[in-house]
Amino acid sequence: MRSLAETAHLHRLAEEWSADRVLVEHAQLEAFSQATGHLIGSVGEDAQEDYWAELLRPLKRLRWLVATVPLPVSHPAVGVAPIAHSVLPQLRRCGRIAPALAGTSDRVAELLEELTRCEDDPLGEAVRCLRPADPGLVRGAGPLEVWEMAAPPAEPAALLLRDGRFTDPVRAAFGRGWEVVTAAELVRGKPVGQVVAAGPVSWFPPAVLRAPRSSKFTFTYFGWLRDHDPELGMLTGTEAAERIALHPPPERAREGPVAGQGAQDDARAWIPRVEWKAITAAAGRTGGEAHGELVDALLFALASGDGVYLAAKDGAQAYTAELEGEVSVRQLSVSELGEGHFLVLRTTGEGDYIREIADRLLGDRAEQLRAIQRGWKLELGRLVDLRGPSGVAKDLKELGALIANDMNVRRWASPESLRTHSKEDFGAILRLIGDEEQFEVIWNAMGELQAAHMKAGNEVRKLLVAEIRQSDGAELLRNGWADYDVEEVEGEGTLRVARINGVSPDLQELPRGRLRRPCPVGAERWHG
Amino acid sequence: MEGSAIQSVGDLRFEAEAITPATAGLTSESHEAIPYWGRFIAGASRRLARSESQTTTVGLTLPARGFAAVLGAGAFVTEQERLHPMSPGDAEEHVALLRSCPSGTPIKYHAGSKVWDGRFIGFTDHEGEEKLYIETRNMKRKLALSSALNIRLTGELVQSNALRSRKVALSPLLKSLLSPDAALTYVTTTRHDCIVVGTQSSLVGELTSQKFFASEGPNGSGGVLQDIVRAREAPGARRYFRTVLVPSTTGPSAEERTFAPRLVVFDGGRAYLRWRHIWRNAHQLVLIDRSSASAEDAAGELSMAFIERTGETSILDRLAVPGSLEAIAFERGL
Repeated sequence: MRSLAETAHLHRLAEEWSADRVLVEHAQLEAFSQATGHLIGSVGEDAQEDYWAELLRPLKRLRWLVATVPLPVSHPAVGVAPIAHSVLPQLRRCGRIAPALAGTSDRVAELLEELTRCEDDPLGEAVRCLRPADPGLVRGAGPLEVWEMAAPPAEPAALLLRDGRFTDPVRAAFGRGWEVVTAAELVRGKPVGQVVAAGPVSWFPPAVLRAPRSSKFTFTYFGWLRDHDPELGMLTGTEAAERIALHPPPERAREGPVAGQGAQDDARAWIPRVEWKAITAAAGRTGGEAHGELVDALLFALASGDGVYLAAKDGAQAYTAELEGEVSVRQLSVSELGEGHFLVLRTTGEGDYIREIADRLLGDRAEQLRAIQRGWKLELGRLVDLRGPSGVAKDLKELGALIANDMNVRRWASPESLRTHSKEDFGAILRLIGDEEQFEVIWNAMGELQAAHMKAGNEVRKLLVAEIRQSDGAELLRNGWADYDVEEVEGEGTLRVARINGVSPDLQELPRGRLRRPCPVGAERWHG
Repeated sequence: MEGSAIQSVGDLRFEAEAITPATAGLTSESHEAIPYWGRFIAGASRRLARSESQTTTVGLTLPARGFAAVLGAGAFVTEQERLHPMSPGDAEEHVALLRSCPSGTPIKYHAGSKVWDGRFIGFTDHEGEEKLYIETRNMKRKLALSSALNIRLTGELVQSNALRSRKVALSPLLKSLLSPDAALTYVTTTRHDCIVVGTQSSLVGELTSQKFFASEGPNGSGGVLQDIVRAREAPGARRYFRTVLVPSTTGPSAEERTFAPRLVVFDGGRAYLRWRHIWRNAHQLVLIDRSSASAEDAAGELSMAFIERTGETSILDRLAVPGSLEAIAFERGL
């Protein structure tokens, strides 16, 4: 909790902040970026074809990394060498596949080879120049030899990165005096003297400036990128005039050894997009064998580099973690999930860990109760296959069901649901499958399972919240994901909390066993 | 108002620590006026209390939502108490009100600074004169009708605790806003004036850990916002309260959904997105923290509500919006 004085300070920053843009020039990188951009533009709509997709994706990734990670180009974290190793042979083959583009691809290959030997750090140097030097110590004036600070210590500065995966190598390279943070960490953290961002404004969430945690921002980025001002106002109908605090970029240098070449790329076009074709293919390869009936599912791309399928219909739910205010874990309907939600998943074993924990809580009773559950669901499922959900819903209504419809019938028949809300609906189901005389036994058995599921869910929720709180959620904010070894869930697999980066636009039909199991799809595949 | 030194929560001062990035960890304390953004929120909330409309929405986006909800709630409930006091003002009206109360209605019997828990039994004849008949600890009392104003309805439906009497120590902070008599009634009666939906632990922290003062003077005038807001979930107001805190994660209980507050404060975008459909007949103070993940969606919903508004409001007229805030206000339909 912030004190009122601290909160008042944040309000003052919101009234006083200003932001500058600093353009960074580097002829070699500009030539590479322009040549890559030219190749992407020349390939055009064919970019979705496998050959071009496999070639362009790493090139876009490299272009993105050198523009967002303030480290020497040849630094292992940037990874220019492995990218060159994988891409150069394909670039050399281009003449045979698309002769018209041979010149362009040869040029990209030539520049890429040069980059593997480039030790320059233009972005890093620009960032360092913006930090006032530490004042150092001077000898005091008194009789004793006392060293005093020549000036108050410089205010802490934050180096703002687009991607939290690079905070460790960047922190190591920049050393003391810099707090290396992501946007999520910055807005939740304490105010700092200045913020230097590696990248243009349009690459960062607007919250960085809507809720400023410093009075001074500087966005450093390559001169060949054209930035855009963010929409800082959030409400329709406000009359307050917006303060012009974000200054336009300076003119590019036209002369000198690193003079800009003039043309500028739209910075927004460089932002990685989720490439669903590649992710879906990767998920298909790494998802492993699965069983169960076919269900409609949506693929979710996670910040952890995983993809995960979740049932898309019939009221399916998933556990999510929330970091706003106090940490909480709760169930949300899959249809409500979107970018920015944090999904809770198990890293190994069957996806439905709640079911397994519930079974453990039930002990010997579990097998008997599950057999009862399987029994009536199997029979209901058989009728759904035979007559369709609409036909079964019609029959159930005639037998006294209150809310029988297509969706509910499918949900009641799915192994994830336990029992209906009302006894009337359950009675109708049992009448339909001919088990009416077993009503009390089956209803109570399902109630027992439901109670165990609730207990298991509450236990996991409580333990996971405690784990996230204990770690302060810092890793989660920085990287967009983190694994938590919840002691009581030991043996059931680590719980992974990961931010959703995208939801596939299309439904897929998959065996139920494929649901909720994260499978690696590779971070580089998001560079569509 | 007799006995009250200041007009609003926004006029309070707070114990501040000097905060600058360069002196992080080195702090000095002073009593400072509440910053303008806090006075603005308190001012807007007072106006909501005075509004003839019942369903005005005031929406704000803020760089950080700390203290906004509790200042708003504090300003609203104290203004509400001034406008609609639970301490009766007209003896005849109050006797009429007591006649409508069923036997056993929980009451407080005030005598000076001493307050007795009690039950209202009814009216009785005593030697040809109609008397008020009440029960306090170990005693049944027959009081003259002229004493009716000393009987206060607690707002409870049933008397839950054993009857007792006590001397009530009033917070100097509360006494700076309400007269001693009104303050005494305020802390011994219950009304669901305000609901705050938000992060309960943060709200309780803000209500109980930050010191406020009615003046620059001695510390004797100090207290915490809980003295004023009287949130049921924070220490000291479990039985007699004016405000109910509802966690935005789990939402209101079945009982809380039936409350009819005059103001609902949505402390955070998530609170507004999830629970705006409840308590539709109340004013809304929507506080959207621009640093939070839910801000964009909540601002979108609030903007949509503005577009679908049923009327304009003058609630923010002549209130200069602080530079750190965005503000809208509009009327909603029931």
